[in-house]
Amino acid sequence: MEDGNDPDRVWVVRSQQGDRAAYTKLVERYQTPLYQFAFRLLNDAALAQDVAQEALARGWLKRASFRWQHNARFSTWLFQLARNAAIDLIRRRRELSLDAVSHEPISPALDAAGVAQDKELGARIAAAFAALPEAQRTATTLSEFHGMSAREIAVVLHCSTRSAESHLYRGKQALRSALADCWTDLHSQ
Amino acid sequence: MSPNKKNNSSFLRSFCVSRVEPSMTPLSDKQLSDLCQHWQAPQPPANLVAGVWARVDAATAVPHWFQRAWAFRVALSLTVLLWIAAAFTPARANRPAALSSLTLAVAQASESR
Repeated sequence: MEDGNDPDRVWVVRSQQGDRAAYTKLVERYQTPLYQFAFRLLNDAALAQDVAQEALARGWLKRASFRWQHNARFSTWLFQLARNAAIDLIRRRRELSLDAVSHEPISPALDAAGVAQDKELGARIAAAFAALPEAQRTATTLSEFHGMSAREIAVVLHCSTRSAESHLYRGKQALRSALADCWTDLHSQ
Repeated sequence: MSPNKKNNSSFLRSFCVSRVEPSMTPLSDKQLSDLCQHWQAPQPPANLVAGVWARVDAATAVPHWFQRAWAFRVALSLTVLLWIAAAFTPARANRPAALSSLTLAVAQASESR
């Protein structure tokens, strides 16, 4: 996406001039995608809230460093901050590793909210994602749930587009095999 | 091939096709995307925005102990004033700096003897 097409440009420029109300607009716009991205990475509602808040706070504190270079979009930059915040959080909690998050994906908060229509199926999909290495999980999550291209995923992962394509391909290959049974079960019911 | 063998092989083939192959066939892109829609993430809590600004304020605020500690501020001011005074006080021209060295002073004393 070209920099001139970034729908957030007006709000970002005003935020960079120190306008808190403008940045609040951006926070309201991206709190849900960032929270859900963090939730799918970490499989934990409390940690997801922590990561989303930390990423959005860093976005304000580092807003001056954001530049519209190399087709960058503000939203992509926020996802990059969220991924970094998730990695930092996991490093601080040394007993956890982002490559070995819980395979019990449905948290009590998720059950209480009644969001999952099919708990069993959702749990199996979450477990398949959780089994992926971190870079593949991030790439496939951004592609499947946030509609990002390989180029945008490369910005989030801080790698080349080719490398992002490779993570995406391997992640999807693993998911296709792991979830084949789910598909069969879903359509045999 | 005997009829029995033929029957057995067709039975095995049909068993494999109906029981094993569907679960072993990887999904297509479309199937994977459709399946992923069944994994729904929760909505963020209502206080998320307020939490963001609380973090920002905590990160940018002057430390509490710095705001309240008047003694610290007085000491800091005095230190700065003394440093400025020392920096701008003119050096005394008639006192060579080398005299402050004990070694040189002893050496000069021995020479004068």
